Amino acid sequence: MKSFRLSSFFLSFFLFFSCSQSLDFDQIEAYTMKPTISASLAFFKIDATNFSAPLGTPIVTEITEIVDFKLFESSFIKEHIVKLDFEFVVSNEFNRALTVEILLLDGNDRLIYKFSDLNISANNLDFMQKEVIDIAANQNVTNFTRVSFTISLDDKSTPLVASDLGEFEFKSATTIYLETAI
Amino acid sequence: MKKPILILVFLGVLSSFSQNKQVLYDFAGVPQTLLLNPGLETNYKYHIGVPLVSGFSSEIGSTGFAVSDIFSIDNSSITDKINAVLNAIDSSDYLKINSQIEVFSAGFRFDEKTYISFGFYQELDAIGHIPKDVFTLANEGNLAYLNKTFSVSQLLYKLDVLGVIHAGVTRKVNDQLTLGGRFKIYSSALNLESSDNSGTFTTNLGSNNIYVHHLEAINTNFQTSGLISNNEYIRDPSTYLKNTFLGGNLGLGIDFGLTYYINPQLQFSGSLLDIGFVHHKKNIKNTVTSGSFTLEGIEFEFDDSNRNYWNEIETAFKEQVLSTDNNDSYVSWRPTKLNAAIKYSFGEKRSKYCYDNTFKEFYTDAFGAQLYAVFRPLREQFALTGFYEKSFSNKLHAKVTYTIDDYSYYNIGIGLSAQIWKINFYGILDNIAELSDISNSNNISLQFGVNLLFN
Repeated sequence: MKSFRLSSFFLSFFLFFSCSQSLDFDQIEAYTMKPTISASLAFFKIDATNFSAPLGTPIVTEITEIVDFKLFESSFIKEHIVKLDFEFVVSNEFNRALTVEILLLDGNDRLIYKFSDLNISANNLDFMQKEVIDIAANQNVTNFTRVSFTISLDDKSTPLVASDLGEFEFKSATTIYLETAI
Repeated sequence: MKKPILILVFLGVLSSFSQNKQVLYDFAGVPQTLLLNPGLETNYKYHIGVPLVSGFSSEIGSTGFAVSDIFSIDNSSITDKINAVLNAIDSSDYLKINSQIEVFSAGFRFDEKTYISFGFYQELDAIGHIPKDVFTLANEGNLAYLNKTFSVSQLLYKLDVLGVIHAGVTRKVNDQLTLGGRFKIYSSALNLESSDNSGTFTTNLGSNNIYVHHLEAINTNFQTSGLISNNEYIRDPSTYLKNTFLGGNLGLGIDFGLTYYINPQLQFSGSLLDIGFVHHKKNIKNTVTSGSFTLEGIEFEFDDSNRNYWNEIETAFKEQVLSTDNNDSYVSWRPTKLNAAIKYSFGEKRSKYCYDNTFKEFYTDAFGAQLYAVFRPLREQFALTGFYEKSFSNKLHAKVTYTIDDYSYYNIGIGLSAQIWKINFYGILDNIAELSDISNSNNISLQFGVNLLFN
């Protein structure tokens, strides 16, 4: 009986004296991860030869690239993105002012979003511009799959010639702001 | 994501009725001590474990944080609390869960010097080191961490669900020395593991573009066995349960142990457990990834070639960072454990009735020290225990331990073994200093069992 009494005491001791402070596991519902992911985008370096036209063809005052850009191919990013920043850094060694027009297009090249033009003055080596897109106000942006870049001379009457010195260097990056619950 | 958390909480609650195997080791001749050292002396003729309750143990431990650090009710937001935990932990911190349930166990005396014991138990054993870099990247992204090298090598985990059929022999060589060995057949129902990963991810300011991203020397290997069959996850819990009994992914192992009396009052004992492996060859799916890749962005050529830059980058990435699935069989080593103990007995001399109708003398008190080590994938884990054992009668024994390990420097455990008629009950609690608030504890464990002992 001594064994039984001691065993009972032992069990009771544990049952009555072990406790835990109040915990609230539902708090986890309120937890949101908010990663901000920076990624390089397009970059290029061009010189006057990119604007030179073969003999007998019209003068070239603008050049364009339209490329696939499947940033939202990942459904995870598409579903959890809240904001998208674009950052542009340009060095223009030409003695000419240029404008860069950037358009976001869908798979059928229909316009989804037009960035503010990048108006780069002649010999501006430190041009910077930022575009912030609030996804809630521009939900259609997540449907873009292609991007159009057009660089044009502001003064279209005077073409660049191959002998014009200097380069036009363009760099870009995006920052993707995500919010996701556990 | 909620399910794993609920499982963790469940295990935490389960384990909250609890204690540590350092207490059970060489405690009062309980049959389950033979699973910790097959070379320990027993004095009964035979024993039968009460099915499913003869030996139950559960333990959950974490280093670097406790449950209350995240889920306590206070004025801090959950985001702040999780961020504080993520800041406080490092990649050597880990989360560990172990649970064993004895389905069946028994033993009998073969002759006056030999005791045979055997049985079947199921075990869940999981350890995961906390990949702080991966969590930081997922939680905060890379913007605030330019030039920081995020390491993939912190991904290190192993989870096993298996059944163990075992049979052991304890042989008294002479009055001083008892030796023991146990043969085990492992049957794995589930194994998930990843180790020896390497590689880094870094974002730097670039020269050609604003940023440059580097995946350097990535080498990862994620192995699964028993999880996926015919490209579909096995979702039926009964399949896992069935596979714990000779389910196809089998392995072998052995335990060794000894007890040596330096003099009648001073005893040394030691054991090596689970020296063995499982050969996984059924329902395997492994993913191996290796390579390096640098991305500066997409470089436009403005050459009217209509190049598909995006596809070119995708293709280059797949070529340079190769990721392949395979069904190759693999060997998984069991975490080998070491126990060693020195025990000094003193106090009143009493006698107890033994299997051979004789009486054996024993001392009412004992103290000593024990060392426990488990050899895990990243590094070994050690626990050092001091103990005091008291026999109130030949049927009622208690043991108190003080343990220093990865989790705490003040872990006090207590165990009680009592026999009423032929029924032996033992119960063990760990970390009783934390009983007032188990949610604030880094390690909690429980063991209990009911056996029938016959002299």
